[in-house]
Amino acid sequence: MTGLVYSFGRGSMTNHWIDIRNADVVLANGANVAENHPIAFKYITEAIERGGTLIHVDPRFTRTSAKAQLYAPLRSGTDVAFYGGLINYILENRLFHEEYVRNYTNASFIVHPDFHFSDGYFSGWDPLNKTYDLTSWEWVNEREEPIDLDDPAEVFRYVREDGTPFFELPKKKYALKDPTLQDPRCVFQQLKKHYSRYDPEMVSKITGMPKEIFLEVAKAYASTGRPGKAGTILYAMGHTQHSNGSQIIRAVAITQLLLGNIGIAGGGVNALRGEANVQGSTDMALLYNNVPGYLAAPYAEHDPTLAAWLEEVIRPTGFNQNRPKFIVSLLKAWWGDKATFSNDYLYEYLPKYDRDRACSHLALFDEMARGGIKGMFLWGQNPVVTTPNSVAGRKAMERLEWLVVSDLWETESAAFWKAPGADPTKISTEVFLLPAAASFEKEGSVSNSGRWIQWRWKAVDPPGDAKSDLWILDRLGKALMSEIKKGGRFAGPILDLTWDYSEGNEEPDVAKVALEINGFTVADEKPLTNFLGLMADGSTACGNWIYSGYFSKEDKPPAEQPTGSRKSVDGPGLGSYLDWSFAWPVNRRILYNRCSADLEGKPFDDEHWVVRWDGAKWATRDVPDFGAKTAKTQEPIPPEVSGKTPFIMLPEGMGRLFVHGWRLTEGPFPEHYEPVESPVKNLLSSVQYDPLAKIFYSPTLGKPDEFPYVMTTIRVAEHWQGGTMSRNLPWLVEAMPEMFVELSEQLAAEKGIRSGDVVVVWNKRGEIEAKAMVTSRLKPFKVNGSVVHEVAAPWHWGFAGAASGASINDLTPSVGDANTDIPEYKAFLVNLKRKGA
Amino acid sequence: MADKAILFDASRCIGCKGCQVSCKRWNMLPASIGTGTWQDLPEEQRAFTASYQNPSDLRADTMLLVTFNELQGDDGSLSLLMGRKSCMHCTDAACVLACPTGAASKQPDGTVRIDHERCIGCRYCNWACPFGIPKWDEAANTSCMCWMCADRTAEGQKPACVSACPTGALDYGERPAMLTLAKARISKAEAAGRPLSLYGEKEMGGLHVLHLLQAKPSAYGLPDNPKVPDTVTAWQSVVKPVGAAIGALTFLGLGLSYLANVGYSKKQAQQAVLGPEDTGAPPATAEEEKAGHD
Ligand code: SF4
Ligand code: SF4
Repeated sequence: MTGLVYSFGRGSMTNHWIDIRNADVVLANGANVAENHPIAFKYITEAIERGGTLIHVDPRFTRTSAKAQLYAPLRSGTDVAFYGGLINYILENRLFHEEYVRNYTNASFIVHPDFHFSDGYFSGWDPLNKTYDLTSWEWVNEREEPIDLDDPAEVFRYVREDGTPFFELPKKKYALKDPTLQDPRCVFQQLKKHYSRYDPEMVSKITGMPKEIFLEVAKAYASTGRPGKAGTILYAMGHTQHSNGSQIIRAVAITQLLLGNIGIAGGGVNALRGEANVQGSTDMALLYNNVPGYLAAPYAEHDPTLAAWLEEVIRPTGFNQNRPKFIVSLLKAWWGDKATFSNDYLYEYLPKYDRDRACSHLALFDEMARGGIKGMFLWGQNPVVTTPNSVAGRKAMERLEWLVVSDLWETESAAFWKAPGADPTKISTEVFLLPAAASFEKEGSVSNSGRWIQWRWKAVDPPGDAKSDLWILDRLGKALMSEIKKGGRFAGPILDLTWDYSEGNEEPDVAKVALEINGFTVADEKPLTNFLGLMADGSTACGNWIYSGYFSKEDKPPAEQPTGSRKSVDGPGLGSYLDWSFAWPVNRRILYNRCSADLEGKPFDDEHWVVRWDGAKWATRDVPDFGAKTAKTQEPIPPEVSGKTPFIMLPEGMGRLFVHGWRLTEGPFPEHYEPVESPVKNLLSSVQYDPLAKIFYSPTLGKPDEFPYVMTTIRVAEHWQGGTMSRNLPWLVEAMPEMFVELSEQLAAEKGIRSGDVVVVWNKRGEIEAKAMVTSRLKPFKVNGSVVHEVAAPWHWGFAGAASGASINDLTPSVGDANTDIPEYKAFLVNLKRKGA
Repeated sequence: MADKAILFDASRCIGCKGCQVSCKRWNMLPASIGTGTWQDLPEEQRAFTASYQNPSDLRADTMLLVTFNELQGDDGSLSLLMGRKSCMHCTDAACVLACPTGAASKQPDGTVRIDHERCIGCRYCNWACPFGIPKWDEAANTSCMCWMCADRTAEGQKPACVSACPTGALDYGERPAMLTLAKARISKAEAAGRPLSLYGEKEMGGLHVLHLLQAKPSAYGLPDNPKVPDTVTAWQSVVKPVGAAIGALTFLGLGLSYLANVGYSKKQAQQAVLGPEDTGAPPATAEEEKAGHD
């Protein structure tokens, strides 16, 4: 997600599920769509039947590979090498979409003269402190201009409204460019130089993908660079769960920008989210470094005041000029009338985080292990099974004073104190298990990967004492309020909250919550049509600006709200289905869709056109992601205007081949590094692994002489995440009853293992036993002349439930992505043997 | 009433088992673990299949099974073929021919059904079926198989498996329409250089579960040339009319003695009609079967 936000401006799937059918080539990489997103496969099937090609890149031949026209094996953790090779192939063979690259990306920007790259490091590396000085990771600005509030077209004129908090206006910057793309210092030439090292031989040596297969894949995929062709890249955890996960996504973004595949139907970078509502959870900032709507959370050191925070998040140009509106409206939504101009809208109430004490999953468990965390709430999460290095994770939980688990079953996490190896007599954690309602037993919205916010109605009442999450949270909020009234430090943030969702012990009014999220005008509580109505002067309140518009009809029930809309007519005929639910932002289905047409507004693809300038106005088959009409007079805005800045969320308005500044910690271009635990040396530089990877429990890391095999964790169609939801359903247990380890016929022969044997798999972090599944679907890799064996194990099993088994996460490392802290679940080292051998 | 059929398009199937689970859910068929746990099952019921195919075969409580067929070409190329195993609802149904009591019978819509009230648990259908479909429920002493969700189709609904499929690999409708659909898919796929073949148009007089396949039937574990075993045909013409006159119980013994009479040892008699997974032997080709008679 991080890789996307800094490339395009938003951190989400650019297109949507149905749109996959418009692709000419679908590249699924790091995603096992058939097994983990079976419904999505319908649209891939449609694309294939329309004559399209599915390419599947994966270490294992899976149910997805079975459906692919082209399967390419790749050693886990070498994705940047693969994309680097693809980028090089596209550039060397001039297969990029030239017009698009020139006009819609920052290819022409001139990079800082000191920017360079050598032996694995970009300029500015400080080996002592292991940090980068970022001065040279910039492009050169031709000029800077102050913002002119007297210009009637200037968006920032809103700061003149009474009640708008004070903040310093930034300067507008204009990049120095070379439109011919010839200047050796321009982004395009720098990109070319950087990836020239990724030639097909090198790619094959690193990834283990045979060179001919790589070339076949490259040829097929690069064919989508022709104007009028569309290629989509689908990824999931196979890309994100690496120590350089964000950079892998960046490499995907660069590939797609070069081929002109962003903003078009059938294109995009499509992140297939791992759970039904995980999109919703990140939208609502269940991420430690965000507040709702992907606004960077303030951190204590840098943002002591509201002005400081606003100055940090606003941009001089582009849509993020409006961020103060979203922030003030958010504070108004939370603290209502108490939040005023004179108290900085109660910014002081907002929790701030410490940069050096990140609150990611890895960091929290680390802190827990050191006794720094007293209690934990788990909502539908089962970290005893899913936390990396879970042996240590369970130990850490023993230090909790209390634990609340809200779930449908007694999960492994609720039962952690009786886990194998735990001594209940020595664990004093008090555990509360709250029976939770399942999705069919409660009402509310669920947001899918394609950003559709779909309302769901309750089908049946929850059994027994089970309650909806909203009911539980509401009760918790009220209890905290009455408790802190009795005396407590800094009670304001809790006592002053607007918290009026229920009366007595009733189920809270979910529509009230939805209205708050949608936003309303403070004076009359009328819902806002969309976020264009938000103000920074305290006159509007909005719980999440990106959702604004999803619940916008005054006094209407959910079924009559945009989020409840269920009209399955595809009016515009592109698969947009604009009257089926509501997609954020403003019901737009394909992001950055200005890029689907050239500077004059002529679509690149006549069949799958999204927007078209007909000479006088725009014809659209989706909600335009650019200024198509003036807000006040509804006059059409000609294409020349929007063509200058098609990526409206970025201040410079251009898709970023080169990402500048602090945004991604390891550098402006993705570079291949080996996983933190890898059996081989990095062939491209002397920097073995991502120099900024987050490493916890480093003594538990292992070396290949002791642990020679690459292990990757996988998922199967029959089970769900930590298994709570599927290992307790008898039919699903029967469909896939037992924990197993997949290994190749070659490794099995070497080790004297047959299918069905119990194998012991271990590393310094733990040891597990599982049944061996010997299969031809997994093959040894030829890496730089030697054989590397990769094995795989699903991560659904745990010690409780109707089907129990070992948890592979007992062996995964506490290593996190350099930018997001996502654990490196997908590539680490183990040893294994037949039990008793 | 026009004949009905299910069309299973293997090229669209992703092996998600949605159909398999939906069949059990709709038909209220318990899972092997019942309300207990997998670990509590006796060892022999927990045999590891070493495949994504689970359970390993149809059972009385599993009337539809998604099969997983891993193949490796000589050039090292891999394929994983996902197939469907369930009653084919043959026009010339071996089970109907073999059934001594009329429990297995043809329905007006061309499907086949086993009436559990009339089934005496003789298992002749289990042995007769060239696809190895009917399975014996020991406790209820009856044979079980897919009945094409007659309760749903009577209400104008599609069978449970068809409704569950996320990718459109299953369709249901009038048989001629399904044949037309299948042929249209074949032409389209061929035009794209991705051959598909139709299985079930003529086999066994015409199946009511049509298959579109990407490899030869045997690659999916299906018989390339299914036919009613000769023993069943002979049985039908000679013994069955007599059998219908005498009681069902005597009939079981009579049947086996008939086979013995025409020159089979009991073991041979069983092998001639048993499905390959029951004998552990490779499927008999037509030639081999003939050789057996000579
Ligand atoms: S038609 Fe009904 S009984 Fe037959 S396999 Fe499908 S779901 Fe099962
Ligand atoms: S539900 Fe459809 S895709 Fe899934 S296994 Fe059954 S036939 Fe195949």
